[in-house]
Amino acid sequence: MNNVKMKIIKEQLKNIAVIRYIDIAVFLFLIIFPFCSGTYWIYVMSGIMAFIIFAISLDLLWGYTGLMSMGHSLLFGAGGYMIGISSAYMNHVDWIDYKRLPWFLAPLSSEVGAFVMALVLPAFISLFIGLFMFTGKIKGVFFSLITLALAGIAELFVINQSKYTHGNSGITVISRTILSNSKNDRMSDFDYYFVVFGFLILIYIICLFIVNSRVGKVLQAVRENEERLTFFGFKPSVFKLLIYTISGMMAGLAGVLYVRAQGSINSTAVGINLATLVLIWVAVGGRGNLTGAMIGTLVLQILETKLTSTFSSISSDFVQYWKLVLGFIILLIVFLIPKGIVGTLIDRQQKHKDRKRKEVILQQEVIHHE
Amino acid sequence: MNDYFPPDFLFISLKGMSTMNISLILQLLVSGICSSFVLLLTSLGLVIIMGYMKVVNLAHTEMLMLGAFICYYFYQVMHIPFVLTLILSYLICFIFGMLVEIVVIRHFYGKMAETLLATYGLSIILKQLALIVFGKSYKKVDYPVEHVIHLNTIYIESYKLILCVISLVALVGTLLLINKTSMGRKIRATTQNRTMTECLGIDTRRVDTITFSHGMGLAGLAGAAIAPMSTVTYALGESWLTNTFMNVVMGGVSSLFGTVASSFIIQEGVSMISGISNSVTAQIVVLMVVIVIVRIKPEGLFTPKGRRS
Amino acid sequence: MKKVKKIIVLLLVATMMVSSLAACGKKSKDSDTIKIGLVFSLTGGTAISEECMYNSAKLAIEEINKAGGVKGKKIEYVVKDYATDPDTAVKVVKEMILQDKVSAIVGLYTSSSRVAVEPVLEEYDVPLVYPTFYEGEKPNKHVVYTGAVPNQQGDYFVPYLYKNVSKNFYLIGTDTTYAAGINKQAVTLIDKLGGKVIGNELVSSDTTDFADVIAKIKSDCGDQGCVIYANLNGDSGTAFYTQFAAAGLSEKYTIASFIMDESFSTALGKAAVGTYASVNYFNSIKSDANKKFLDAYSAAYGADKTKAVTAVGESTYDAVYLLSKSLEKCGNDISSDKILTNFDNLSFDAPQGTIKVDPDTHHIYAKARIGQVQTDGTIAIVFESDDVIKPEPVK
Repeated sequence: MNNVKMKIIKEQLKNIAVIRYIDIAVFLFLIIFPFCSGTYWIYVMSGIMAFIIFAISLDLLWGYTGLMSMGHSLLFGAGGYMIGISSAYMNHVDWIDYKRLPWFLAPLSSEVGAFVMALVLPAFISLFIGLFMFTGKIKGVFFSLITLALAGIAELFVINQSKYTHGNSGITVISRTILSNSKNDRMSDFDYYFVVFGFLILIYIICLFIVNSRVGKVLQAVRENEERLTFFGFKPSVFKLLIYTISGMMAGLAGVLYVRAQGSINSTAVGINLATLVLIWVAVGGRGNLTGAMIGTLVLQILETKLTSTFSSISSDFVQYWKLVLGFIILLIVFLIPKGIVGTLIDRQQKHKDRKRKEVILQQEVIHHE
Repeated sequence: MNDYFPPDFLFISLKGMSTMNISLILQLLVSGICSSFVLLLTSLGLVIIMGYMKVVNLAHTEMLMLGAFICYYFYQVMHIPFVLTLILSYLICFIFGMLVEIVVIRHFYGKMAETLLATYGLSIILKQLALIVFGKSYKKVDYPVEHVIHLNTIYIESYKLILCVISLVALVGTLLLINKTSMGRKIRATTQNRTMTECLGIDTRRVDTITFSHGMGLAGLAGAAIAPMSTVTYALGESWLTNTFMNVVMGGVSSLFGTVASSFIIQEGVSMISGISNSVTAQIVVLMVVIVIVRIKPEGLFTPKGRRS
Repeated sequence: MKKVKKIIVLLLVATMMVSSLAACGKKSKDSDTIKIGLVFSLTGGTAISEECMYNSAKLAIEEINKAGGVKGKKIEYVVKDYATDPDTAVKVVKEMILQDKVSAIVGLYTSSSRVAVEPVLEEYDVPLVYPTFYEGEKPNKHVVYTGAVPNQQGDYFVPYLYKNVSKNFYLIGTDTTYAAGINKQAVTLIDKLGGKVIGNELVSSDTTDFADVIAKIKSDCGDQGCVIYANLNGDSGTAFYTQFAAAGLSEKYTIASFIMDESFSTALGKAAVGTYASVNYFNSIKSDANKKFLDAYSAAYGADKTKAVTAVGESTYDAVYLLSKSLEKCGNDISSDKILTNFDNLSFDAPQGTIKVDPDTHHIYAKARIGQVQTDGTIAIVFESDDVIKPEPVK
């Protein structure tokens, strides 16, 4: 009996996709990182990890369900701004001249409430948008363009409602903690790094659970052929709504973590720029597997930080060249590895497996004939 | 803004409506029509590419910027006549479009994410190249005509009228191209049934190139036309992004006529509402309405029922 | 077996990445030079306005180093681009402080980026010298301001316009804290003087089509004269000036703005002629110090660029010189507190005249000037306060 059990476990281990090993490597890298880096890079990496959570949330929506949201930053920024508004209000910052928060922002007067709102509001927004669009059978390019427009509107709206959001100047969030808004509660960059890392692991496990469950299979079916799915008796819009809400909540969480690490939030966090950037990260990394989102974000963000500092130390005139380099890199990636880094890896591994299987079959044929 | 958004808007609009008079309303209507034509002109290139090739061209607004720079260097610096500059702008961007199509876009038909990425990379490259090559100083293009026409209390800048004319010419020209020429017939055939068209012996790849280049050329033409209205900088494309894309979506991605209609609805809406309130609220309100309309009619307001364009 | 190999390879790759990142950018403090950081938008929406600031800073550092540096030590600088984005500003300021270990920072233009970096300055205790004129509210202890504040600008601008142009005002601003603050202050001032505020509009920052705003102005102002008090950002502002002139309204109403400076007046041509500007420095000031400054600028960057030298550029030049003087007083003990205290009562013969740092507020005493754009694109000074004015930022 034990022999058979061992064999089964061995078979299962063999079948764990390579990408999970890459995930483990990434996590190991992230754990070791703060021990051999300066404060600046720890701070940068905390922000990047928040972005990774953001990218994973988009991957759930785009990679697995096929809904390309070109305005995902709306949800990210919504979460961030909840924290921002709460922090400004509770610290009685000077530019505030309203005495009480309106009823729908009331939870923001407590820190825990702010954290909860930062998760609930994006979920609400995505629920609302989802209900609006999925019941009307909006799909494909329309979904993308509408979400794009929503991000654009959100940026205008945030700047316009400067009474709460301090408009263009943004809100400064002083306390680098999760559940506190006071000036004196500040984790060091090092400690906060591990808080973000903890959340990253949590989100990762949740997503792993979702995509490997039956719900995950249905989502992929939505991506592949939604019409046929209805013939099986499923209601795609329910699933789309569910995943959009979950994705929105995760994006909001990412916003919270990012704002705390960065120390400030402004309208670029809900804008089109960030929305397009996160699409690039997921596309470059490879969509449809959580690893791609992580790798894409890591590689591109680290590249950007390193390129800017390298270029500016060569010469100030060179600084504007790095964005040009980024544009070419994106083009190169689209040409050479269109499925993204991880996507191409999986492809090659698949081809390799197929070839091996064919060889085995051919060999068996030969033996058979002899 | 006093309290939060909804009641405030009502208050301001009520207050605003009482201060509006007939001449202001008429003036806003007229300037709204001119702005609609401008919006139509800048969206035309995008409609062609999105409608006939199903390609989301994120580099469209950078082509506007390119057209504006061409206008600056040809018309302002080298004093080439304005009309000739417009034509040259179209041609240069047409040729550039051909290059882009052959080198980049052609490989990614049908693959939405890849085209998106590729056009995004292209837009970054164009923007940064413009920054590096043309520098950061403000470049100003003079109005080719400066006369202001007064009718009663309404005034129209004559250049705005010229813009309307250019926009109409571009629209009519494109309609003629699509409906009356043999190339137009090939374009429509390719869009409807590519395989069949190829069976008939038509080189669909050449058709694709021509279509894409025409879209890019139109964008360049539009950029050159709007150059005098503001200063020409490498960031010119950014402010047109949301408006042009939403315009195309609302009009129905494959309908030229729909885009015409939606240009008017959007711009007139913005004009009228900003007369009551301010232009920020106007933009937000109008865009929300557009989204609602798209939800109700996802094919767009005027979708071709099979044959029409 | 293959899987194990894969894991080992991946781990190796991971450790390689870590070590490569860890070994980066640890520049130790060189005792032969003093390191300062410069942060400007080299790309981004306000890059055009900040180019002059960056050039002036470089010029000042070169001149100081050529004259022997700070007590014999040369000034070494690192420059970072914050691309008009407050988040990027926080990132690069942190990088300059933690990685490059600068002693002080000069730069920034937008108010939002300055406000965003203030917590960073406080956390790591590094001073910033901020050269841009701003709305004068809530100054920070870690910042020294060499730009004008409203009581040195608007408080003179509005009364001058009231007396010399028109008692009616139509206010337009971009939807930013700066413009909104300035316009609010103007409203109070106009009311006090007894003038009339005909309209108060806020537009979004990427507006380039002002047809409706212009229509409203025409309808509301009618045939009475009016001052169009326009505080619009870069691209919006130039669009407004051009469209306003194209609508033929320049004869009826006059535009006055804080944003107008030589970089715009040289680019806008006819559309800007006759409009008013208010800063504490204009290119056309006739003084020896200014001539020296402009000649040096021209030698370094060309005559064309010199025509577009603006107040923020000159202010950055002053900022670097003032910083170097403070560093000199510090001697060998270069700490943030010492640098900040040594700014007190520091004075400098700037191109705009002699300026002095006010010890209470760390702003500068400066003259208020009002200029009008001439047909050749230069700005002629039509009003100059008799003496330097004590800065009064609102705490």
